[in-house]
Amino acid sequence: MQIKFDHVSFSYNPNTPFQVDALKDINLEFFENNVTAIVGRTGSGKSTLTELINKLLTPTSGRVVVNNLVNDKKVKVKGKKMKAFRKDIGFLFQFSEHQLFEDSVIKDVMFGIKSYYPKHPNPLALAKQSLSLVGLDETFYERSPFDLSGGEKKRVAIAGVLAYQPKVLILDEPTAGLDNKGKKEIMDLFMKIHQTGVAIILVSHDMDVVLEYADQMVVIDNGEIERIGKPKEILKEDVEQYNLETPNIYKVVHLLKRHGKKIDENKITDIASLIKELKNNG
Amino acid sequence: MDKNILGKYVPYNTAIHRLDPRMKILGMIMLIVSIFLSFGSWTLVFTLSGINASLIFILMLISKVRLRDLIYQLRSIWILVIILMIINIFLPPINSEHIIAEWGNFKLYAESFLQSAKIILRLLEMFGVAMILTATTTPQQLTYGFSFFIKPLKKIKFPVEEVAMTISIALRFIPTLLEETDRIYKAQASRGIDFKHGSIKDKFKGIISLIIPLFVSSFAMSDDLAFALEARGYNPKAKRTQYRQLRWKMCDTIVLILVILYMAAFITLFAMKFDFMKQIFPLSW
Amino acid sequence: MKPILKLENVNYSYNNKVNVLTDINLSINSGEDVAIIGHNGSGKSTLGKLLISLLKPKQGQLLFNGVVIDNKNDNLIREKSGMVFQNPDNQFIGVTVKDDIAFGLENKCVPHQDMDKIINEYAAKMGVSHLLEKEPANLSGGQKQRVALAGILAMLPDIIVFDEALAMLDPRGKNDITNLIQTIKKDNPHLTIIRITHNLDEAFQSDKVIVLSKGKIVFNDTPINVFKHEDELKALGLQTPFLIELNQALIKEGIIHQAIYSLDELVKKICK
Repeated sequence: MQIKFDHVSFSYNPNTPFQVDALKDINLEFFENNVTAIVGRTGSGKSTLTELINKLLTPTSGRVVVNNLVNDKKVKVKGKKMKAFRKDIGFLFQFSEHQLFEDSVIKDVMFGIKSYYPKHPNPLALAKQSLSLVGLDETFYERSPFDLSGGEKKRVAIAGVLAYQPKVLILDEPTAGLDNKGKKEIMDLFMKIHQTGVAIILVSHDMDVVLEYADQMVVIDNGEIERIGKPKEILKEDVEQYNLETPNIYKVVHLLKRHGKKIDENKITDIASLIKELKNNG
Repeated sequence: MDKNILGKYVPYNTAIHRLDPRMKILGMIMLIVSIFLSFGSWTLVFTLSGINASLIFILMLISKVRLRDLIYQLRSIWILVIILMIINIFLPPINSEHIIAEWGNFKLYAESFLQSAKIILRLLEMFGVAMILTATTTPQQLTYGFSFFIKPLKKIKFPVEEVAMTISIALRFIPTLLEETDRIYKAQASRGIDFKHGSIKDKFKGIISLIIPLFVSSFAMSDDLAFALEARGYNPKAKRTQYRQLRWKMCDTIVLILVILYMAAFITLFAMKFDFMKQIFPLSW
Repeated sequence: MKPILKLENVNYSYNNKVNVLTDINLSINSGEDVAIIGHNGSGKSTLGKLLISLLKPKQGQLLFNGVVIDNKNDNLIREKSGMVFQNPDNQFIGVTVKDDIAFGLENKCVPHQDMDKIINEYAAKMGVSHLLEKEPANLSGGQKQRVALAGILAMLPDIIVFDEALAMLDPRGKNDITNLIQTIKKDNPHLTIIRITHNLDEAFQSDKVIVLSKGKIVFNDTPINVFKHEDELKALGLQTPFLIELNQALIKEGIIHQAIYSLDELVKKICK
């Protein structure tokens, strides 16, 4: 599935004293079947960028092309056409557990299928399938989503998005507020989903997560693209200039190099590879 | 989102912004009384309405409330305007005598239109006054102002301070709730709800999908807030001091006197039924 | 040293159903920096609220400076404690930064003419002087937590509880508040700090770490002694801090022989 940004700019409250230029002349193409991380500090414009993909926002100038559908100021989109824009894109917002509203888990998961495909012959089967993918068994089907724990709610929300079988999954800060174990569980789940052929766009502050899971990384600062490349390539450099955190492992690598240790940072991505490199260099 | 709607504070620092909120509340009430007093002849009614309108326009200029924003309010009342017209045409005001057209039994009176115009003009003036008040006074100041006026109710055990605290916390959390609404709106739109162009059934479902999560979030929020209030030593029954003090200044007194004189002039005209326009133009309606 | 806070045989349950905390015995000394860690649902947040009497034990008792606290005298501890909550928004009570810092002072009946001086002093200490007129919607999460701290410190507390105060912040906010806590600690040596957290790197900076699991205290010791139990912690769903993991890997491979808990020192040792 093709997603392309063509000279896209976006301003909030354009032509008013409150105008904020969130994105400036963005050109970007997402590769199919990749995990692409969009990183930048709070307010850099990264959330705005993702909301242009499924036309929650319309560019102030330029255009976003998604699967041959054009999102720009000229084309008026409503009703069925709007659904065509959104049905292939799953969007999980930060605090996605807040979006549950039906009185049972299974109904909430079917909600998206019913609104995108009102004539679908078997929404129940799809819902059950995606619930089992997120690791919730049939004992959950009839329970009220409001009685679940935070982690279970999050899983129901994820299932509710997977159920309508999007081809792209946009994740806004999926690991925020989670402990290390929770982080690993949820990212492993997303990787499992990725294995089924869903492309992933990951918005995150957490450089350790980006380093571990993303194939491609787009750095945004002040509404402009600063870098595009492999996380390993970018993160081993000084990323604090873009207001990003250096991943723990590269903090060690940078310190070692500063103390004159000869190591090849290209071979290092985690503790195991660091130790190996240290041993090789005596 | 950022239209200057009725009730939104606009942070300038004009002379009117600096007035005491109590003065502004009193002033608003007196101006509205002046607006809604009724008088004899149509000429007089419109002359006085014109005087009110000019005063309000001047106040708007001073307080930097834009006329455009006031007219924007008309959007929300145009249905009312049409209903008014229809009622006034089919049930003309008593004493209507100027017939414009006649179809058999049905007579179209000029007074029908005059009456509609009068009411709309008054509504607009009232909106204007209210807008000046809310655009120049923070909700917090308004709360302090109102709680000053309801203070005597304490004698009948009415919880004045608690009510004031509740209002100011509610005001504080409106932006937070709007943010949450926006987030849930986007999440449900991404799940295929078409809030703008869907069928009635879709829209209904859409509203439910917004309201329920909002309720759940606000309950969670109020739980947190209760702990936060307690942790910082808030006790509704205990005595507490107040950081923001209202300061009545000389200029507040002067402006108050001017407004009282203005209203008094209107009341005098009203009470004496003195129609100076009729004196000057004896033939006027 | 005498304990400022003491929990004796405390049980707690919501709605008298399942025990969230069971048989908690705990004492915290004045001026100590204690981290309470545990996975989600371990009862750590409940424990934090019990410690400053925002919740009352169902069984057992809380002692503050040796005095048993109950419904009647909980203002004793209320006046001397503050809590920074997880969600920066839901604890911001004033309409502006100024009003929020003033809120606690109003409750303490500080005369209004004295407030500006106090507000300015603590706003300056927390680095929010330039934000005094701002509304919460225009502040970052880290800035809101700074305001919360200014409001608490202005009350001259003996105890501050941080209830997952970093969890909702971005990395910059996290760093910022972590450093700020260190500064506050240095400036107020008698201040007792309790950090409830699932961020083990944060817990690593404390004097003492209490590990909770299913409502019971599993460990209560120095960070180094607690984090030694790597396998037990993993079984509890707690991953060891990066620095400890690195140390362990280095020791295992014989690159170093003794753990060093400062990154700078560790790197120097490796380079030798």
